[in-house]
Formats: sequence, C-alpha cells, structure tokens
Amino acid sequence: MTSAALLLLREGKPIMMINSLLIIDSFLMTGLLSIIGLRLNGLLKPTSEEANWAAWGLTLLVALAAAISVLGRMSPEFVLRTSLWALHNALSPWIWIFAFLMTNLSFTTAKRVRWFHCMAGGSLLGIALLTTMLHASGIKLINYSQVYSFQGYYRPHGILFTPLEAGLVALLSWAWGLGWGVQQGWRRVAGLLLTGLSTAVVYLTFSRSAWLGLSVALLVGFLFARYQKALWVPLWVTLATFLLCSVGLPLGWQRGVYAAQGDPSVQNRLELWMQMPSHLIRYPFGITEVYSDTIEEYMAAGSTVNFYLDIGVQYGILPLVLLLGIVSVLGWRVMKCGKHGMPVGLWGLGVIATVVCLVFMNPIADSLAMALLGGFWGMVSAMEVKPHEPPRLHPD
Amino acid sequence: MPQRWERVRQLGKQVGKNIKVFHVEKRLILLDSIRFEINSIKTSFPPGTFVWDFRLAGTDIPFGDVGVVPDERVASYKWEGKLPSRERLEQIARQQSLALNQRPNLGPRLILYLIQWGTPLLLIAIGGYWWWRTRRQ
Repeated sequence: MTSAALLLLREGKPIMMINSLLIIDSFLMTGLLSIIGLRLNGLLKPTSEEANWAAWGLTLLVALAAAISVLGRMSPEFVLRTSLWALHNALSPWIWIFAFLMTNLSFTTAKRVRWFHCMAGGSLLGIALLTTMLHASGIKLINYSQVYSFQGYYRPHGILFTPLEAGLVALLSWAWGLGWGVQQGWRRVAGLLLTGLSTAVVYLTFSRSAWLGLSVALLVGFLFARYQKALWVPLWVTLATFLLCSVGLPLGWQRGVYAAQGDPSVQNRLELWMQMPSHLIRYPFGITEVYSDTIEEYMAAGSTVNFYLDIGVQYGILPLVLLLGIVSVLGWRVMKCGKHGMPVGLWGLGVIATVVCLVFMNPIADSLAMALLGGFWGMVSAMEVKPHEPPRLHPD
Repeated sequence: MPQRWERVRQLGKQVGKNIKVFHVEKRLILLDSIRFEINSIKTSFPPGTFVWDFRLAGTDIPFGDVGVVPDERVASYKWEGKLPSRERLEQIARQQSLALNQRPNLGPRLILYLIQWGTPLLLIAIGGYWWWRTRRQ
C-alpha cells in the first residue's frame, strides 16, 4: 500500500517518522479509547433502544472475529484459502474495544443482550478451561502448529493461541468463580468448583504472567475479605488448589526460578521496555509491520510482549496515555468498591489480575482471548460506580 | 535431487549467547561435527498432519529462525506418508506464494478497508453524537 510519509532528520539521522496511514490508525485508536473514557465517566448516555442496537451490532463483529480466530486454529488451510483471514485481520485490532463497549452497554441498559453475553461469555470460558484441562491430560482437540514446553512438560492451552492466553482467560473465570462463590445455593458450589478449576489451569499453563496476576489479585482479595467475610472461602480454595498443584507438579516453580536466573525472554522484555521513551519520540503515531517500508521500521514494529507498551508502539503516545488512564480508573473503582464489600470488588479482582498479567504479555493475536478480556472489563466497568448507593446491578 | 533429501544436523555446544532487541538472538555455537541423514525425518507423522516444509530454504536458516524464510521458499501440505519430490515442492511453494501475495480485487479491498476503518469510525461518530447530546442535556 502506498502512503505519504514525513521523515525528520537531525545530522542525517532519522529522529521522527510520520506515516499518513499510521496517523489514521492512531486517530481511530485514540477515538475509540476516548469513547471508553467518556463512557466510564458517565458522559455518554444512549437511550435504551440505541444501546440495544449498538450492543447487538458490536456483538456481531466480536463473535465473527472470535469465531474466525478459533476456526483458523482448527483449519488454518480453509481460513487462509478463503478471505476470512483478511476479514479477521481487519477487525482484530479493535476487537477488545468493541467487546468492552458491547458489554458495558448491555449491562447498563440492554437486558436481553446482557443475558446473551452472560451465556456466551460463560460458555466460552467453560470451553476454554475444559479444552485446556484436556490438553494438559494429553487429549488434543486441535492439531497445534506450535508446541510450548518446559523441561519436557507440554504447557496446555486448549482452544486458545498459547499458554499465555490460556492463563489470562483462566484469570477471568477465576473471578467469575469468586463472584458466584460468595453467593448461596448451587451458585456457591459451582463458584467454588470454578475457582478451583481456574486456579489449576493458571498453574498448569506455567504462565508466569498469569501467576503474578493471580498473586496480586489474591493479596488484594485478602484485603477485600476483611469487608466481605464470605470471600475467605473462595480465596482459601484458590490458595489450597495452587499448593496442591505445586506439590503434584513442582516443575512449575522451576520455571519461576528460571525467570530470576537469566531467562532470555525476561531480559529481552526489560531491554525492550527501556527503549520505549526513545521509540515513542521517534514514532509518535506508532509503527506497525504492515506500514513499515524499511527493515529498520519492520524491526521497530516488533512486539514488546507488553499489552500497554505495544499500544504505544503501534498507535503512538496518545492511545498509550488514554489506555493507562482507563486502566487506572477501572483499578481505582475496583479498589474503592471492594473496600465497601460490593460485588464489583469481587468481579474486579479479575480486572486486577489481568491488568497485572498484561504487563508481561500481549494477547492481540488471539481474538477469542481479546474478546473475553474486553467483554469482562466492560462488564465490570458497568457495575456499581457509586459505593455509597445500593447496588444497581450485578451479573447473575 | 528429485527423491533425495539430506537433513543436516550440526552437532555442537553453545558457548555464548548475545540477546538482541526485538526477539533476535545471536548464538555462538562451537561446531563439533556435521551429520548427514539421507531421506530421514525425525518423526513419522500421522496421515493428514499439516506440514510446513522448509527444504527449499536450504540449511542456512539464520539462527534456525524459520520466520525469516521468504514465503516462496516454504511449502505447506498435508502429510500423505512420504516426502514430496523437490520439483513438486517447488511447484507447491510457487502456487502458495502467488496465492498469498495476490492482492485482492478492488471491490473486496474496499470492503476490507471499510471494515477496518469504517467500523471504528462509525462507532466514534455514534459516541460523539451521544456525547454531544449528553452535554446539551
């Protein structure tokens, strides 16, 4: 694709590169993140009917991209041969934002779509957990093109792209388990089972980023448990399951120790992060592989294995600032509501866990994981926003 | 070599590693010996397995990173019990590379741009309208 580019030079060396097509992407990402920001601050108020239509429309796009992503894993030939992959690539950069707005709208105003999102999201989380457990036990439903292993142990990921995504999605189902685990009746039993199963999946993926996310969320959870006593049980279930898995398969801890003993993937991440300030100055509107004209630009467009910094790399400074702002607002709300013993605090532990996890990974290649992540964040953001008022809504 | 293929295994030990940025690793390997394995594959695959064949790329893939091999030197096919000949492999790779690099017609391309840029733009426009209306109220 041809595009106009502006190259600023100092002493013959390029210091800033601005590409017209990159500006379009950067502008769109800035606009979408601004919409989320305005919505979080209550500055966008659609009518019920408008919200309903918008939520259904976004659901269609998200479902389409997620379905192609999964189909591409099961039958790559078919997806490549048809134009489905091109369609997926056109949608994939925006999927998590679409999913965020989709559930945010449905959980505040559109009841029927909300029911659909709960059912579809819950089913997909369940399938992701189940297939990961089957993969761990040696039953492969997909002919995987890549194998992730550590010292002879094959790290499972089920229908998800890599064990990193499997760990991330398990953190979401863990939070779902907590949300149900504090309720009464069959939901309590199902919630505790889900908490245990999700914790086991987090452990079995050997994803250190997911482990770290779970650890931080667990610590925050213990803080919240002081205000909501029922939370103690699911938290102890989490801790007990993790300990049991550690005893049964202690190899996972060796991978953790390896991180501190010069693991190249960790050092690589640290080195890339240190280069971010100069990178952002040079590419203020970001750089992606698609629009890179030189090998230098192509190399610069590589992933930093950090979701937030990758937004900066690909879309520039403004989207990065907006994203960090959105995450801060979400985290602040979860902390505030959690200290008041509100349900959003429990569900928000999933947000805290994934926010930490995303510092060490970027699931953008897996539209299913991105859809579940964006949808979950959107759902939590639509829950109670005023801690001193009675709960307005919480997912069933 | 129509039916003959040599898998070259460079046997040695790693004596140093230099981590570069953006996932490029430079490894220094002290070569002890080279073993040629005629027509040998490491494992036998079940029929129907999806195989990426890098034989056309030769044995000089830098750092063993298959990601740097150009598309026209890679062929993919379903395993049918034996390795395809080199001629057949070149034919498959050429066809696949052509299909991959073939730019879609203007119509489909416009539709893709419409989806890629139109959907977020529409959402921004709707959000902008909601914001404007909320401010007026």
